[in-house]
Amino acid sequence: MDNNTLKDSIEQALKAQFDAHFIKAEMDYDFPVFTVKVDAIHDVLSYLKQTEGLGFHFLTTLCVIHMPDQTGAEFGVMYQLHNMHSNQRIRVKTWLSKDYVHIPTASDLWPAANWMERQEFDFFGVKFDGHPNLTRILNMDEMNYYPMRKEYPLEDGSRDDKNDKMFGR
Amino acid sequence: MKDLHKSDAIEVEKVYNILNLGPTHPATHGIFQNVLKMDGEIIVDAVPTVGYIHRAFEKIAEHRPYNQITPLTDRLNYCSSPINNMGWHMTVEKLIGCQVPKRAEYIRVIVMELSRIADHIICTTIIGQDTGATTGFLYFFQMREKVYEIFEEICGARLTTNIGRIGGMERDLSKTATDKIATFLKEFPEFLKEFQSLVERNRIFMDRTIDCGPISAEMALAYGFTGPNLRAAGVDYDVRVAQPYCSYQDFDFKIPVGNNGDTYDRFMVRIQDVGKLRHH
Repeated sequence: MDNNTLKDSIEQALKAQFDAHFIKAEMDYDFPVFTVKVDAIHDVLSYLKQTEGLGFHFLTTLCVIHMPDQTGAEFGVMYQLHNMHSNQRIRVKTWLSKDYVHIPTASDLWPAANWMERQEFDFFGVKFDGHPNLTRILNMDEMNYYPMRKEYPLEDGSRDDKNDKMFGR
Repeated sequence: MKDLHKSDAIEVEKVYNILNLGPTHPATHGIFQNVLKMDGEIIVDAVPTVGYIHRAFEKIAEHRPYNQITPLTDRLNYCSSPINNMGWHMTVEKLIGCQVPKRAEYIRVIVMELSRIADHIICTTIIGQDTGATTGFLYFFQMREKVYEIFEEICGARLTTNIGRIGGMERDLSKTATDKIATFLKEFPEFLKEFQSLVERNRIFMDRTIDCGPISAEMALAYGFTGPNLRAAGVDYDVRVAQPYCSYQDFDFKIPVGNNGDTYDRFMVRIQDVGKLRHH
């Protein structure tokens, strides 16, 4: 099955199953990407994992994207799933508003999500509801901001001793 | 079963010890801390702290052009930097829709497989070192040095290689480089055999690794294992075969798979993974 057929068949299944919670399906390069509403994300993931014939049993990665200009949908959460038997990979995406950055945890479906979600919480401040231990994982506990959000600069803007524009920074 | 901690005469409460292993304990390769809950000498629980060497590559990468991100990928796993370099090159090539010449892809495969060998040499010899087999480590590590000499000849650097460019390679292989690769291919099997005969069936090594830290296939998949650790658990999956990139489909190789997912299997999968690639 090529990726376009895969996209169409999953699109139909998700539409039938989740109706209004399903937003759109698209091809991103060679990847089928499905966007759903956040209130259905856990059901969609568990449907994709457990349904006969789909069986996306492997969570390759999970990450958060910050788009500060996209009003009302500033934070994206992306799950990349893999079915090793049929060797198919898909992405599932959902968007959160910056006023309510809560999303149900996927760590009950994949233990792998446990640390990935802690990392995304650590760097973007997205709260994964129901996570068994949602604490910072890489940064120190005392840190009081989320460093991968776009509003936090790479370096202290008041410094003038590090001028290396010629290297493209 | 009789509860050993409650005899008729006295009642003894079970006491666990908390032990801080690290952050710089010599047995924790790469700095991380483990807070261990110990029942005598047996570890019953561990809380790892993994962030000590986090270097904010994602944030730095947001501010740099694509070609300047390659040196950052060196540091993702400094034992096999070229593989990370290639991963980044291929990502950007897909993004900009660029076709890489066949010759460059083959050079990449050579470089990647050499660095896979170097990485596996580190893993397999260091586990020997940690279980008390220092000799194997000292002898086999010479081969890692030879691989780095080849890298030095190709790109000028040994460990953090920054090898290849987006769209291909920075230059063709020189005569010295091909000679060094040929010498390496000639010498390597003997060194490998020597190391295998020192460690593989060594009673002490087997006692210390077999049934040590077994991870089942279900567990490995649920926790998102890939590569040799997944194969050691008995899952027959290698991305080079399942989804060939960089012309891997033109090459023949056997994929070793383990049974129990214990330390010994993880060792064996790696030792059998080196030097198995042949062109059709």
